[in-house]
Amino acid sequence: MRAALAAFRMQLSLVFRTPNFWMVQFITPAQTILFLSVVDAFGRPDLMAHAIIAPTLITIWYTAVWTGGSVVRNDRWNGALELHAAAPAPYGVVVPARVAAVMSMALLAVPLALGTAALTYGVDIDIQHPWLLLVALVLVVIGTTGFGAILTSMTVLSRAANTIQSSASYPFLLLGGVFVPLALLPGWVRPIGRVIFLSWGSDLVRDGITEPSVEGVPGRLAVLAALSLAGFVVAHRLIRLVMRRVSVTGEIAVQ
Amino acid sequence: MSALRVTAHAALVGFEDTRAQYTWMTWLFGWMIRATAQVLFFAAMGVLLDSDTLILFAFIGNVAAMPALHGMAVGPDTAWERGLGTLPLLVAAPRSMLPVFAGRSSFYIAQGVGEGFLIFAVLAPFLGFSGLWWWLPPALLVVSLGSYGLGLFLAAVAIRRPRIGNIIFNLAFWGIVAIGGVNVPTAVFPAWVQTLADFLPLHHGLLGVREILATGPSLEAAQQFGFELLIGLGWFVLALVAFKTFAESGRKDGTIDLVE
Repeated sequence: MRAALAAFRMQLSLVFRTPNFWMVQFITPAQTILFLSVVDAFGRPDLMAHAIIAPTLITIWYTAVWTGGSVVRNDRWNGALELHAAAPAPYGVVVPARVAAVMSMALLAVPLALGTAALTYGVDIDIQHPWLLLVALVLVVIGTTGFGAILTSMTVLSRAANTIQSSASYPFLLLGGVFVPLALLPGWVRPIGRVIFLSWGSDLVRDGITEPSVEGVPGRLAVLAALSLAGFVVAHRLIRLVMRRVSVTGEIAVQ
Repeated sequence: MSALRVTAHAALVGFEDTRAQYTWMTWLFGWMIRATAQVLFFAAMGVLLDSDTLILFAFIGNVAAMPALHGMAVGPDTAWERGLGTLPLLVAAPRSMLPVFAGRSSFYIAQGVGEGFLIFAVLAPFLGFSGLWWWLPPALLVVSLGSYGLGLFLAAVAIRRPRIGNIIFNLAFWGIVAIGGVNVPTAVFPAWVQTLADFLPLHHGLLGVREILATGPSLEAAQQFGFELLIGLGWFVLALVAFKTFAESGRKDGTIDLVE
């Protein structure tokens, strides 16, 4: 636990000193304007909340992929991976803690998207179920932290690390129903999308804001929590496996 | 003439660099699936809004944004060059840096056009596109050239501040996608935003793309493509000045090898 806390604090101070880590947050206002302009131009004020939720979730996801996904790769570039392999604190604990530090700044997307919407289109969102929204958002952040940790561990295994990192975005955002709910996509796509925790998270966040009455909340939250935590478990195991493999083969610093 | 030779050599280096980044498998099943999903993600907005017009409008807009994305990616890629330690050699060399960097990422022009057309070919039958598709590759080439000019200017900015290279590139790209007529016509924005879009790449090129796909070659399409190339040229000239002043100030104060 102490190692995890130290790793979290270290990554947080790194975040405040590295401008490129904030890249995703910088584009949130532009993406918010993009979605709002579409909804406004096509005369659908009822979808304004959708237009704010989408860039928020995109920012959360992209922070996991872009910034969280770079944690292990940066360690490798900086020559810190060998030290981690030799250290007594398990790297499988350190990496998720550091990705979690990165993800804590992803929540900035909420005020950024809301502020942009208020300043540009004068949108004021009335939240129907604040607690449901909060719990769903926290679970989405937990899920994306696990996903970021899985992704970053994979970057050690492949020379195509950059391609893996840049590819793990729009396919998931599309299947995760970030703007268009999964229920509106073709039937054969839905089972694939339902395996991704983001599709449950997107629906719950949307319902928490727009639906006067939300059905099946406990069950849906349970599925979202289970899928999100499963990501953490997979990430932890994967990092242990990766570290054992690269230590045994001696490929730890070989790219 | 020697500037052209430098550009050609740099282009070859850039091509080999790109080839080393991808295998056929990672390009096709990694990058291309992602790029196709990006176009589909925005085209699918029409499903939620129940508008076939939006599906096709956003489809063409986001296909055309692909060459712009590649054209502008020269920015962060050039910023990395500073970290690789090649800059002092380029500053010491007798020629300007611009032909080197212009050639180094010129493969992105071809890559953007090729990938944009491939995504179009894969998705068009499913999205119900009907139009003069064979005009798309040359039209995308114009968009790519226009964006490359801005990309080089961003490179000249990013090379001074490598730590924010990616931020500058993404801010510019998503700003242009938001206001450049990709998902909605630029006319829906206030007048000052429309004026801003007039001086950025993609906006005019995209108007030309939509026109030529609908009616074939016309005066209107030629005008829009002309504007796009002119804007690209304008940014190219600014890049020339920015690279020159960067090299000169670096020589004077000896900071060229000191990454911030």
